[in-house]
Amino acid sequence: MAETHAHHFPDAGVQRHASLLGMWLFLSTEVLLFAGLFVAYGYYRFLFPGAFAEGSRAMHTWLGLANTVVLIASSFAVALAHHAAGAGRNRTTFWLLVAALAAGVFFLGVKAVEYVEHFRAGELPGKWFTHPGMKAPGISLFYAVYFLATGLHALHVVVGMSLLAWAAVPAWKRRYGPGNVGLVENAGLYWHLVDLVWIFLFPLLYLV
Amino acid sequence: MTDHAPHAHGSPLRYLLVFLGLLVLTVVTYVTGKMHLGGWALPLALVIASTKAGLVLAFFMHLWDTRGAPLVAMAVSLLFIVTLLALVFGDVAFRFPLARPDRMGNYEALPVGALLGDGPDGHAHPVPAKR
Amino acid sequence: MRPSETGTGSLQPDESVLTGAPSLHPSGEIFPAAHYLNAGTRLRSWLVTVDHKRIAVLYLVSTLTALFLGGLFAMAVRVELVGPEPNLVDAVGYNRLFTLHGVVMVFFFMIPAIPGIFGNFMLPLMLGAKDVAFPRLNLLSWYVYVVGAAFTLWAMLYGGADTGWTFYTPYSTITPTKVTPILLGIFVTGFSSILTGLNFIVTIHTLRGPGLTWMRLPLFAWALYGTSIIQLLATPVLGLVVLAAALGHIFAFDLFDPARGGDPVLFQHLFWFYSHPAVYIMVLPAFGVVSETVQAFGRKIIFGYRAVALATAGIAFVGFFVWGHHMFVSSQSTFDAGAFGVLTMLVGVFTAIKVFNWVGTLYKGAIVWRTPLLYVCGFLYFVVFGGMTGVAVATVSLDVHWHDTYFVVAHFHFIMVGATLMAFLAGLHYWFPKMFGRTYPEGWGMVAGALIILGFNATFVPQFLLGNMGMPRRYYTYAEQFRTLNVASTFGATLLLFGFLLVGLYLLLSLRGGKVAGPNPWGSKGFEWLTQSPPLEHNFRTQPTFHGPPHDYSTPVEENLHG
Repeated sequence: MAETHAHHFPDAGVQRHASLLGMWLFLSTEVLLFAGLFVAYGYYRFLFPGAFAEGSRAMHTWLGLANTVVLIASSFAVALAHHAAGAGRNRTTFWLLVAALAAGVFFLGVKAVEYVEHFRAGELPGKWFTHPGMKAPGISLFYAVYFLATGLHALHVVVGMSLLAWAAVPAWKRRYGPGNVGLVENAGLYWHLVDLVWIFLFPLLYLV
Repeated sequence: MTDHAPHAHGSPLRYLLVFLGLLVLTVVTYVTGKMHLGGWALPLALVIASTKAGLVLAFFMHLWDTRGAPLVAMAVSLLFIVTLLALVFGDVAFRFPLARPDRMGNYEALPVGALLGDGPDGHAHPVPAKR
Repeated sequence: MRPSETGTGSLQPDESVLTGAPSLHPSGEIFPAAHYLNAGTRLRSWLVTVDHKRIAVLYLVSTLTALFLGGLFAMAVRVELVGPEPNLVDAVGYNRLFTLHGVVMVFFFMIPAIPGIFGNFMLPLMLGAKDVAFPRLNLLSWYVYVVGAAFTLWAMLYGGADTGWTFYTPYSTITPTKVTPILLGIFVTGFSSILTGLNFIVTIHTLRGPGLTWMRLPLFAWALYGTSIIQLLATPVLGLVVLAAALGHIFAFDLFDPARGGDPVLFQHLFWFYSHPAVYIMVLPAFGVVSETVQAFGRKIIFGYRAVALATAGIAFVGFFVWGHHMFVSSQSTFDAGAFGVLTMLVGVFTAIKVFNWVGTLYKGAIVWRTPLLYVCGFLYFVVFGGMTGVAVATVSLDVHWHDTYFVVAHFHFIMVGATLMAFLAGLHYWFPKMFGRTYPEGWGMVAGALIILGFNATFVPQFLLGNMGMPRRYYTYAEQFRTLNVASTFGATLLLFGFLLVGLYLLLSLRGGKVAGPNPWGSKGFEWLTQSPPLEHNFRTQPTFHGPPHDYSTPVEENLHG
């Protein structure tokens, strides 16, 4: 496909560079967004270690593990998709992106199952916490942090999936090739970020 | 600024190795998370998670092959996050004990909602102390 | 002296007297036939524009509306405070007034105005670029601003919030007032800020014209760069904390609820981690405007370019490390109080450096005494006193006395109104001919500027005294002994109001009736003046190339326009 570029860029190379830089800058905003959450986590964990231990013990660790593995695998798929796109192998790219999307669906499904479990058990934030068995002071804070963190993360998973789906369109139309991978590259970066955040959330919420 | 060369980096083999490394580290963190390591559990988990994150950033996201602004953006972000964490901890860790949310004047652990009662609107409202 | 053709009384000496160059601007200047304002005249062409200049004008209209609204709230506050008795509103009403004053001014004027208007308009021109890096994102940033403003306006119609613009928990989670839509409005507007910052950083990195190295960048571009870094990295934390507070309010899902072990101080940490850098988002662009105007009206290149550029980066950076100075009396640990106190002293150093550089630029320059320079002089006085009182309140032991008194209120108004708003007005007058191709009446400019500077002093100097005497802020009533100074302050506010209205009036009239400016009525050697005024839709006919820094007055003003 011929390389076109917007008129205010001197050439396509500059446009690519600008697009990539823009994406990285946007990722830094996402990093700072989740940072605030990790601060809240650390703050309350320091104050209420018993509650946080109790809360993470109540998590279904193997569900979290499954989600972690699936998300890492989807990151791998997306990295490969970017590589394939650069080599012009559009069909490979397309199916790798579809695989990553399926992983996203799996992830959200597991989270939904977990959330339902939490609702049933009364493991909820703030005044809604009604689990009779967990009594450590600050336990409702653990769930406030848990739901805010995983909820925000799940929202980003949805956004990431939308970006991946959008990036799959040129693959379907056989448009990717050397020098023309911007969309799958940027979507991939976003998806890797989603994975990155979960890499931290999993041990902090489920394990320790 | 260097023009970004899209495919100078990363063969599929490299991605595979990173993926396997990530899987191994995930297993490690799961196993060590189940052990009772006391005070070491959190630092260890953070070290493992940071290593995994580093792998994703460096190789899946190609920071290893990038120069310039993206690296700086991530480095500066990290610096600000560390500052935020450090100074927030500097507050809560060294705060005057009576002002700490988990102590509140007596040195035993507090049951939930002990000093303040829930009003009909579901929010906490002060309850006069009974002494 | 050539009298103005339109008889509005402006006194504009022939530029040849000042530059020694052949006059570029005889008063029979012709308004350009084609420019960005008439490239498409339907409303739709404005609403879907991707032209950075039109987006700048959209921001101008919306932020000035916000300024007007915030100013109305301010006048209402001052009217209420003219005596200790309830004059206008009751206690809750007063709380709503100062909350809305703060919210509207901070989030809908101070933060977006200079970057959104002058940043958008001038940055590509200064870089020799045809537009910003992401023109459609630019338009999106304005629409996002409008949506956020709409949420907040809606809340205002229902009386707004009474929490103060700082929304401290736990009150903000239990207040019955309409705090949630305001929080959501702020959350949304934060994205506008992020998008603008992102756009500017990428623009400066990728769209600099040939020959334009980093150390030749106009200082306004440096200022925008520093601002953009802060917008990018600080705003997300505000987004998070505002979201958490809103969720706490709506769903009683409270991260900061003391009854369950939550800590309101955590809210304050996260809130101020954004809101302190936010004040640098407000003030750095103002510093950039001042750098441009001192060079243009001192007819001298900046004294110490590198120092100013690096000090800008220094402020952007160190500004992230000082937020706890808003929390000295919050029960924050003394360890933190000490750390923040010291770090705050450091950030003041960078601003002081810049003041020396600006004064050093004017010193032994060929001063062209015009309205923008009047505002810059006001700015210099206000930034020094505002800055010094800032260092004073950064001293923990002193702040224990001054916190939550009018001393702090006076300090930040000195910086935000005295410094930033003066710089805004300087920029507005300096760039008015660039943006609209006409000049404003210089005499009236001076009169209004003097009124504003005097009015400002009359409004806020009494407040330093009041605060030092112990008058607390955010109370609708006060002890009788504070009455006189409060009356003085309200009187000053009225002068300020007249000053602003006057500026608005003659600028509006000049849009159509002002003398045609010509491409460069000031004879400035800033890069943005290398185009016609108003500029072409695509800025340049030929790509400009750069051979040296801007504002090099050792050579004559260029006659070769690039468009």
